[in-house]
Amino acid sequence: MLSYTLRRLMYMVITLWIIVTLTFFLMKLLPGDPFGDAITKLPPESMQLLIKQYGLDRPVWEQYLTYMGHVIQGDLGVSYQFPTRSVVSVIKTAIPASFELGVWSLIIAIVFGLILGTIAALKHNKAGDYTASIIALIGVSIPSFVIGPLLSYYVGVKLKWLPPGLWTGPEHRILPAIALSLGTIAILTRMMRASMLEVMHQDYIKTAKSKGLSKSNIVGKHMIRNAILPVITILGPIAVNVLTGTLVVERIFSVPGLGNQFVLSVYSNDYTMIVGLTLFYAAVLIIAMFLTDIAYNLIDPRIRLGKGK
Amino acid sequence: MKLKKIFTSALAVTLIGASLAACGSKGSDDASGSPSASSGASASASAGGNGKKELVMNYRADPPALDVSIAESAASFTFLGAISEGLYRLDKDMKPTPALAADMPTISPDHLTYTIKLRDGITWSDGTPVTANDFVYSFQRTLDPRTKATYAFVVAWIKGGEAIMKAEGDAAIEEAKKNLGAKAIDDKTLEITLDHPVPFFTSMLAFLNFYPQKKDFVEPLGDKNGADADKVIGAGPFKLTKWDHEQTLVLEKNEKYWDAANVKLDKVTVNIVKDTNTGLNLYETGATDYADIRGDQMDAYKDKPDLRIKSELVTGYVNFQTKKVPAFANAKVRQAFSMAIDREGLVNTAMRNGSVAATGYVPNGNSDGNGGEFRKVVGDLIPPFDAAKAKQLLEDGLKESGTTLPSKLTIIGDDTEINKKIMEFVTQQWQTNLGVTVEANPMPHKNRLEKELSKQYELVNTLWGADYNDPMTWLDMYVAGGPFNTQDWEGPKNEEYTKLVTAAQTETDLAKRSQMLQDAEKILIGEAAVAPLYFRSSPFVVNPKLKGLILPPYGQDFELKWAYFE
Amino acid sequence: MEAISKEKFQPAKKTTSAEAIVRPSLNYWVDAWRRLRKNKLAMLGLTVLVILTLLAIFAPMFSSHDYATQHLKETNLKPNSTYWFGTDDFGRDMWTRVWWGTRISLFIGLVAAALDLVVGVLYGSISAYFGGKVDSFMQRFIEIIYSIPYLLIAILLIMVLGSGITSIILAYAITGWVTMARLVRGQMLVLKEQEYVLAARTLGAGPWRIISKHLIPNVLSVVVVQITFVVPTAIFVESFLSFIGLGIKPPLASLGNLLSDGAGVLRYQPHRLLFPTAVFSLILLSFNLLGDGLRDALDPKMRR
Repeated sequence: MLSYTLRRLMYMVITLWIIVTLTFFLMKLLPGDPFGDAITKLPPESMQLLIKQYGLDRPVWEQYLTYMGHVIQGDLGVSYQFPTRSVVSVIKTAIPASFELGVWSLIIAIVFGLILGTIAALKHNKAGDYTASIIALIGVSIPSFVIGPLLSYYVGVKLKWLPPGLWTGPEHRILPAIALSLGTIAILTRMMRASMLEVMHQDYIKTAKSKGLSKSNIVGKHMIRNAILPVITILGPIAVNVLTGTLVVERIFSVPGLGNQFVLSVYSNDYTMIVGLTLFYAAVLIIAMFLTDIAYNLIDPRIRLGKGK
Repeated sequence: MKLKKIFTSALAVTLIGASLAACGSKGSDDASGSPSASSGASASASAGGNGKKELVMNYRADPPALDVSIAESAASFTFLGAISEGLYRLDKDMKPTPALAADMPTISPDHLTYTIKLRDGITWSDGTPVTANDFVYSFQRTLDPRTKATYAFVVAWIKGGEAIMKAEGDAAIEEAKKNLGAKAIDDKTLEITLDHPVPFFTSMLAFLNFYPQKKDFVEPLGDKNGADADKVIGAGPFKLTKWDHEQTLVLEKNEKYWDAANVKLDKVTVNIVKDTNTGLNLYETGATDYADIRGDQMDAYKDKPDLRIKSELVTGYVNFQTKKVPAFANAKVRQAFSMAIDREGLVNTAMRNGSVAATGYVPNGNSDGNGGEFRKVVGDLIPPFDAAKAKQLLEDGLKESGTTLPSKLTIIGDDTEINKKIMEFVTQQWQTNLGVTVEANPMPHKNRLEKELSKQYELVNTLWGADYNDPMTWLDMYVAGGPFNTQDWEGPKNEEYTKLVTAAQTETDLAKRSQMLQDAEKILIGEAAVAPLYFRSSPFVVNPKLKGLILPPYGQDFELKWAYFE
Repeated sequence: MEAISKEKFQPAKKTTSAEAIVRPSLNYWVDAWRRLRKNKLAMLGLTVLVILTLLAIFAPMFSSHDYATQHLKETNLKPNSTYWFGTDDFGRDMWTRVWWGTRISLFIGLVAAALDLVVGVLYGSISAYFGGKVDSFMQRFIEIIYSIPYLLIAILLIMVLGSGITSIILAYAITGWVTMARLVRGQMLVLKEQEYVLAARTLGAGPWRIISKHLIPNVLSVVVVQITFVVPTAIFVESFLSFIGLGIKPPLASLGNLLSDGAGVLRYQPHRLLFPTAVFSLILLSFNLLGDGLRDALDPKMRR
């Protein structure tokens, strides 16, 4: 188990390194310069200082090496748009909101996803299945940038049930969390349904049935428990879903999080910020997948890296 | 040499203006739509007026560092204007009134030396006194190339400023600072000597670039000055007590402010809201007292007291690149393109945000540099829309110059919704009225600016914003060989124009100077060297109970000092 | 002892019919289709898709308007007899724009799926076929791509390439094939070890027969199901890119930019959001329903 974990860790590091490299060079290919209008506004003397400060006067490979060196030390550079704030500090201030939003949306998604998935499987090919599937599918059928404004306007302004935006009190969490959770609900429902259907045909369920166990007992103790197991494997994709969802939802509901920041950085060609955020997103994702792997491994020792499969 | 210096300074300022104007446009243009008085959602703006002491506002973006020297955007202007103050503050008529200064400046007969007495009892928000040295330090810091201040050029109007900016090496910079034409005669008296006469300099002293800075506060912070709430200090009506980046700024009344008695608000909460729909949603649920809106949202508020339309010192216009398209070197061809656009139709059907059809290049409300309003003095210079005459002009012009138009022209411009609409509109006008096919190519603001400045265009739909209230901010752009003469306007008419503008730059007789600039604009428009389209306005919804909130036409987004609730 | 006459040893009358397969032989796909037809939701999805595709192709022809012409005097009209879906803020006909947008979006989805299919199946098969070091290396590569949030990469790519249909398809395809490759490889690896493959081999079937008769059909089912998920995902990505301003350039319409425009004006012109959203959701819903149905239908274990 230990050697397995170590190997996985090594892959993680290599993956991260490749991502840093890729993003760095992609950014170098981008048109437009990061100082934008400043390049023509600033006196040449100051411009020189600025270019030196960001190391833009040196060859690309040298910039790359310096950058790598800094990344290893946990320094992602200084944001071009906010010269007084480091990328790390911007990310740090933006994490809590995004994290909280993500957690809330996950909670909503897990509760509804598992319930809908279970119902769909139990009522396989009956009205219940159809209803549950369609409810879940709404999440993947309407983009969050449509759901978000709809919720903000109808629930926020028309019904006045919840605030239409901002991130001040607990009541401000609900609408964005719902908007963000819809996609995840869909993934979870579908996964849970498939997994339940699989489990329902297993021999041990037949055994349980022939033993005369009550239906609720079978469903609760045998089916759901076993069916949840594979659902853990999609934690990775779910993390992606939540992360990218924040790009849209945060802007619409004025949530001061990472997604909001990312879109802003794209608009303003803030290279260091884009690279930093991409790296951060990727790291979160890789770690999420790593943890999933380890967790799954602990639960199901049949799957081991490099063996069998 | 001197001319060049003056030119570069003006150059810097106006370019910033362009970016400021563009900033402003982002906030209000980035979603599509135009009006339809459907569901007419009624505003139930903030409950209970009776002298509310707390104001809540939306703002479109987190401001960059609130540092007097490096500030360059409307956002910094706005917030620093509330937190701190200059020698003067502009009132609702944009007239400078004494602020940290006790009285209006004493100006020497050659218009070069300004002597200013500071008000008694002025302090920073921490209680320490503001002295004349704080101003001198501020100017020196802004001019220091190591500060990398975008607006250093403006402060370089002070004698010896240019030398500091050009100095190389720490020792040389410190040495140059000693020769700056800004001196503290004593703690209460500041003397500023200019490099050349600047007729609107007293107004400039109200601007952020001339605010004081507290050396022993700024110095230890280094790069971090102005980055957070505890790293900002001012001598203005409010204190910044909280700054959660990308979320909220909280301004609270500064009890130590010299005019605290006239500051009625106790607290101003500014929430960063990037989406105008969400912004309006917040306004309609009473969660904010101020929101910027778009043209289509404006329609539903047409007859409501909430709607405020701010006319800005911003002109939208089209430029014709005369080297890329030789036909554009002919004035008649340009006149034809200008005359073929129905400007009233543009502002009333395509834009619908309160903007008005341009009647010249210098927008409504801009001063003439001699106490009057430029537009009123000069009048309407744009020939009326006339499709038939325009077509005739085009034929004549092409015949006269022996050129032809390419089968397809391209116009570039910003990709904001409003600019896309403008381009769609004008290209259709040229198609139907002149029979000329022009394709619109919208692109991000930065790319447009880059292409425009490097003259990589045939036609460009662009805009310009004033940074200071003087016709010079508009008219020095198109002098011969200047970097903003991106259309390469040349020939005897341009020479005449250049002569007028450069003479005006050093003219001390304000009436004569104003006359020169008026004549210059007449040439500019007569030649159709540019085709102004509209003078821009932006719509806002503001709680009707909120009074005294000034929406200045340039510089700041809003002025909070005198705001109060009924 | 009675002599046993030779006559008694007559060979039994040959009845060929005993071994004949009386019921019609059902090959895999016919069988799947039969099962799919029983799935009402999947069939509904399929029908809706066919109708929408036909509308996308033919509907603009029924309108006298085109998607680009502006009628500046007739902006933001509600649906009426001239403009069946109303007009937008340029006075353009929404009916034509919606169906044009559907056309563009479907095109993006289908081309992306085709790219996915080719790259993913090739990559997955090669990886599974060679196994060992090659497989391990190829898997690491996939892992890396997989762990980069695809939308971020799509955004970066479009920033580099400039927006347009081609860049959108490329931006999707560059990361989209990974799931397909993983699925194909996983399936291939499992199938290689299956008893029936072993049985086929023991019975003397050549590798080609094994691959074509046993491996491919089984992988195909996974591929087909995956494609029904790729198409809507690509359409979804396009809409997302439109929202952050990196989508198709106007005046050309895609469902993505119609949606993001519509979402901006839902307060005063709900019709501009309603129609594109309805079509968009129907497409995505139908693909997903069809996909779910196909998965059930093609899963051999579900045969009953």
